[in-house]
Amino acid sequence: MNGENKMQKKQEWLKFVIPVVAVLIIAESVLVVSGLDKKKTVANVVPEKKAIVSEESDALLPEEDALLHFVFETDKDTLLVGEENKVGVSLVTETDVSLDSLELYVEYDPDVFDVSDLDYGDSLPKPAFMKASEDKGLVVANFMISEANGLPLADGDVMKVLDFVVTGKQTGEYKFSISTGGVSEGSVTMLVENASQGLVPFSSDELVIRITE
Amino acid sequence: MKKNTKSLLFIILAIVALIGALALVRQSQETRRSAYFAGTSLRVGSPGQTFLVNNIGEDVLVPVFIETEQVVGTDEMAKVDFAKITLCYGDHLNLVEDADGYVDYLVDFNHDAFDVLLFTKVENNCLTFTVKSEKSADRLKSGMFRVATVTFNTIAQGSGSINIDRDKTQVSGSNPNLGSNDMALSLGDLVGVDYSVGGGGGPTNTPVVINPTNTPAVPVDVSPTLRPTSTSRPTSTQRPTSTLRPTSTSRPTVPTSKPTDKPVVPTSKPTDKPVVPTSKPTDKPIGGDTPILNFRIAFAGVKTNHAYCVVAWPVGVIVMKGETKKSYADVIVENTGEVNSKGEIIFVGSLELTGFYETEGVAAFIKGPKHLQMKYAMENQAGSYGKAGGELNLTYSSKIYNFSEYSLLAGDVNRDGWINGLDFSQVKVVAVKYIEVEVGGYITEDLDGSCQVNTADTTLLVKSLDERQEELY
Repeated sequence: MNGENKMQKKQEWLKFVIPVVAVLIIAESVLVVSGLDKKKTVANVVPEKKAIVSEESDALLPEEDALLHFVFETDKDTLLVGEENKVGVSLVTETDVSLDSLELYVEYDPDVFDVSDLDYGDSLPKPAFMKASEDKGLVVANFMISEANGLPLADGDVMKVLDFVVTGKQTGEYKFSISTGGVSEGSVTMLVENASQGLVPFSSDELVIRITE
Repeated sequence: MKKNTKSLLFIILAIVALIGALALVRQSQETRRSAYFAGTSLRVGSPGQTFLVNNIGEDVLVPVFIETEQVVGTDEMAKVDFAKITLCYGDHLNLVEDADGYVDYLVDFNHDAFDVLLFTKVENNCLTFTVKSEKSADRLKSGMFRVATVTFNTIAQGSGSINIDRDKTQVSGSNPNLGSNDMALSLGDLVGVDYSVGGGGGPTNTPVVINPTNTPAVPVDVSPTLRPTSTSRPTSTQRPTSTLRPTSTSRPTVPTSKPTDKPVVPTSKPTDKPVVPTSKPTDKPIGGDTPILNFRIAFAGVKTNHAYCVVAWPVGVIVMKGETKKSYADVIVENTGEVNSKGEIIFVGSLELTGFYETEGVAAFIKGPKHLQMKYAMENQAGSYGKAGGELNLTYSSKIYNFSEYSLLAGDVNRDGWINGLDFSQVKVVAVKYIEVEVGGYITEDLDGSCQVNTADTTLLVKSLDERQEELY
């Protein structure tokens, strides 16, 4: 009698467990199948296409609003005729900015000065073009930044752009200045920002050198 | 008893449902394993092109293109990382093996699209070659692009076709669906090209134009409804995977001026890329009272091995003498198939100077669509003219001025007349994304016409800037 009860109980237990297991497997199968579909959907969404953004260049702001400044540096502002002295041009930044290009044109009087030994700053890449043109009275240095994110400059940075040696040829007071136009408006000093591909406003000072006998 | 029967039926039903569910899962997986994730079509030569060769012994440069379709369920075009292509040709053509018995040097594969030429084999007038890319998925080519250019040599007079053998051709790529293992691309249209080899006698021979209904030299099935039964990727290669090409070739790699050697730059462009500036057909010299300026020019950096997107680039021309000046826009120049000393393709233009009556001491200013305006003032000018006025003496006949050694400098993409940092920034922002367009398309920042904007374009711009600055300063 006891054996029959045990057998009966076992059968009833099996009758309960087998359908439950079967239902669980069916449910899992359904989940696996629907999971495949979900995976497919996600995979299709992930590789987004990036649009090409083309923004027009920013208009130049008034210089008083400029946050980048070209400054001249020199040890001596009085030279003897025939004396050599090094002149530097640096860029002072009052904001965080990243540059795609830096094109610098420094005007000088080739009848008064000889310019030689051009050298560019360590932070800059090899210039696309660098020359002191006696014909045009210009020191030209063009830097194109190949890095995707440009050349990052932080607020407070002072970056050497260029230095060169000047030799006085005749007495008088003469100046070096940053060109913002000339040679039919090709010699335009400009800074192009990485983020906007637009022009960044800047200010500049002049360097007056007195040449004596 | 009744209760037992009910339970038994329920158990049987549950087990049947379980078996059914498992069968469904298995069926789904099997279907996916044999599926193509997108379609593709292949073409030999440009649409409507027939290769016409005047003389036996001349080479024919035959490009092979792939065009991929959109991946089902996405807005992306399928990207290709592998292609095995079999080209079959008639008895008039030959592929001359090198000293080691290979023809690799005759298969100039597209290095922007693939990295390795795995395999070449010539058998029964059929060339099989296999190319593979090892680039990451985002760098793989999609849309229409050149796979390779094969240099055939003509050995007999006659005509025939070069066709793609469907059964021996396979293409696979990177499936953007990360949940799928399907890599194969189904083959749709496989379009061959006709050729005709003349019997010698030089360029005055009239080439034979093939009737499209002619029986191809090697018949192939081009029905797009047929599909290959196997999609498995080849696992064995018979050649080392070196990307080095043989250094010695006995065949010329520079196209000649003959019309049959110009397939490297397709003449057609897709209709959905209406970005090429409005143009009009080149004015042909007709003689009479109007002087004509025929000229040969080159675009800096546009070379034969990649210029698949230099199609109908229009130039602006200004002719001037003293105060008299006349401008002509959208003059189309045509590819001559020749190259200058820098390997740049020479284009020829012909312009009837309507409204301009000066014929002596004239200077011409030519500007390309993304180029600086260049002054041309003397025959065979190879550098900056550097002074006022000009020395061109225009005629009413077919004299052609050669300016091709003084290339149009590329980089004025914003067309303000200068190459500077603004142009550089505009090109760079596109170059870092490797934006590309299908063969025959147009991207302003694609300075070398390679159909992709990349560092080659920024480098070309910087080179142009340097050259122009040297002229100015």
